[in-house]
Amino acid sequence: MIEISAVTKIYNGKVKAVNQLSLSIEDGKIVGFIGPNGAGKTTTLKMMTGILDCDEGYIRLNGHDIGTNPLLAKKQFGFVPDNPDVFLRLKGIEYLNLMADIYEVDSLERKSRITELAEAFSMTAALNDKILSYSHGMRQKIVVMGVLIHQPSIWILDEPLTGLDPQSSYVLKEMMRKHAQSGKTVFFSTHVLEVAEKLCDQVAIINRGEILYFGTLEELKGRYNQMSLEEIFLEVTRHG
Amino acid sequence: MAKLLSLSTAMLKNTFSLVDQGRKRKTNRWISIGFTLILVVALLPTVASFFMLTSDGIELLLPLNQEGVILGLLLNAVPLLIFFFALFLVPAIYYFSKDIETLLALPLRPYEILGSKLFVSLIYEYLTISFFFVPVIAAYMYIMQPAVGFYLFSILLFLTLPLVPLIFASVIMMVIMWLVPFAKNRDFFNMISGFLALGVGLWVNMQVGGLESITEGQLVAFLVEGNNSLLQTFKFIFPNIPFALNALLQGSVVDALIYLAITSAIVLGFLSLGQLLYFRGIIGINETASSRKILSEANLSKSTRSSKAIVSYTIKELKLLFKTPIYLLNCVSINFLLPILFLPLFTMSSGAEEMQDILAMIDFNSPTTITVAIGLGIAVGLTMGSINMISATAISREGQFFYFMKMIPMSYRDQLNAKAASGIILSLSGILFTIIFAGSYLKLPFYLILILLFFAIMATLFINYISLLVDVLHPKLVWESEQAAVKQNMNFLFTMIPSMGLSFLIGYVVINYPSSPFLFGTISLVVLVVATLTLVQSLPRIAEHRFKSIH
Repeated sequence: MIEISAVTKIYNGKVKAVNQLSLSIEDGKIVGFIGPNGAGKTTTLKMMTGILDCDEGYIRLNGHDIGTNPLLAKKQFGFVPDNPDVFLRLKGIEYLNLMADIYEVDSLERKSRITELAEAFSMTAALNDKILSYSHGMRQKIVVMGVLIHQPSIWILDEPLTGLDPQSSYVLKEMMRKHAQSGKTVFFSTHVLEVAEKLCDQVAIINRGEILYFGTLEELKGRYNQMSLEEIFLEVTRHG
Repeated sequence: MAKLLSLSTAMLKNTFSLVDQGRKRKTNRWISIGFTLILVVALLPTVASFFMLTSDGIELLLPLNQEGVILGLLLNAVPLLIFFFALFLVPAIYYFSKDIETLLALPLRPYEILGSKLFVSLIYEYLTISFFFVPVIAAYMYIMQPAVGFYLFSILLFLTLPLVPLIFASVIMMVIMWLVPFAKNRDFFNMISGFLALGVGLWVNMQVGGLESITEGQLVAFLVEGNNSLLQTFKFIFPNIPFALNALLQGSVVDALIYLAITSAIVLGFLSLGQLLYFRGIIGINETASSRKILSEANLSKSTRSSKAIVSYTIKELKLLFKTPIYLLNCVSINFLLPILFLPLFTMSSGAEEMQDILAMIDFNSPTTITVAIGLGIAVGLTMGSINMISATAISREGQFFYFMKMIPMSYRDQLNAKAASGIILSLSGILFTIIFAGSYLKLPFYLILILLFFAIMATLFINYISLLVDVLHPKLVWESEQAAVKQNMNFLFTMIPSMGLSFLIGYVVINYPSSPFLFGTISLVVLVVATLTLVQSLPRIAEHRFKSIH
């Protein structure tokens, strides 16, 4: 369960990147976060993950406030940032083991999780190599694996499918579906409307820091008869 | 040429506009202004002392008509200093900077990229040499009141002096990097290339540098002769320097022109050589070979052993320090290089004899000796803990991945302690290496080695936490190359200068106010322990407050 209540973020005392944003995401849902460049998506995700502080409002993850109880709140989620270039000098396996230690995953469980994830993402032969030698897509995969290693109940992903090959993209989407079906939550930002259409139970459309629409895609389509999703998105953000 | 100029300008703007993260905020701007002011105030005594020292030297040499020796020393020392700085600077700017792959994809000739890199390095060298060159030349001008030509040529010399030593270092590095593709283990070769360049540089210096060996009789003859005749005993590595010296001392336009001609020829020669060699070394420099070897069951079990988060975090810090070539060269190696650089002091035949004479006079059991050992231990701990810059750049080195610290469910207390631990572990290795080596060579009694070690350890704990505090308050998170995170990070000056100052102060107190070792030891210990514990306690809260304003 994610609760975002009247959250505002102001940069340099002037620019309102996010303005009174409220969202309540129930368990068992995949929610897509859509908006044009600079709409406030990444700022919102950064506030949800404790990277940025909210200037107003609060964010609760499974009931834990990220502002007042950050350590417990951070254990609830796994975050995949938009840039996967982390700790490039470490080997893949070293990175995964570090993440497992930070999230206190025991040895037996981490070993089986790593084996399982490496097979699913075709990374078994790459674990012993430095992340520096990986392609962009492989770096994206190792970051996703690092997040999934502690089996967080909430997944927060910033453009997670960018750079992934079709097979890995399919695997990740399937994982997201399974995660939601098991009663947990997936919240991810994307520019690809087709992905949102096929994958999401609900979408939140944001522009200039404000939520313009939050609900199911069917409901949105019902409001704009005969229009494609792309046209609807442009229409909503234009008038937002 | 037009491309070279616009590329150099762009690179310069990019390098020097990389200001600290979040500086736009008012509070951060004040922090930056405050830090700059402290830096200027801290450096003023250094610059002033160079001025005073030069003035005294000139006044001493003036009656002998040997005042030119000061300029000779300056033109001998500054290029050498540039050369050694360049051996650390060149790999990062020419080969390991982030813009390399973007530049390679552009339709540019090797000499155009190389020229712009040389230009950026030159600007860094100006910053370095201005601390030495300006006060010495200013003192010379103040006392000697030379002709107008001297002033003009001094400006020209300041602008062109770094070129030749920089190019010498660049050529050594270029040749070494050209060999990298032939190396079997490329990653390893990349990592140690800096050490190789340093080794070659030291060897070149030893082969051609230094003063000519002269007899005492010759020296007296030179001294009596006057007319700056002592300069004949100087031997310069770089071929353009003797002409620069003549141009300065005798106002010779011809020598100035020859100096400029040689410098220009070396620049042109370098660019031509670069046209041949630069791309051969640079293409694929950032590529790391992948083994594609599947981990065996046993290796997987070994690699997935669990540890406490703080231990794992410390190991991560150490691995990154050892595996990143720039950090290995600047932060790790210095712990072991520094004691090695002092090695000749002990091992040179005449030095060793003198040392033995001095040691024979020391009563190792006297209270004063023990007090001195305590002071010396603290000084070694402070120096070794600050010179490696590990804690002073612990946050800065995170760069754009600083968010990782904020995102993980690990308290700032644990993360900062892990970062301090990595600095402390490497400082301690240097301390052990220095004290045990020096102690056994000088045949110090065991208890004296223990005293030295104990106080060095206490001091290094303190200085590592102070350094971390400086970096927490003023991290340099926006950088283009890892080199910038450590070498172009002013934070280390805030710990280096105070720790050197404190070492001198302790030395002054120990010598001028001899007290009982018990009293001095107890006071020092209490001060160090209280200060360190206060820092350990307050640092997480300071970090929490400070990190909030970093986006």
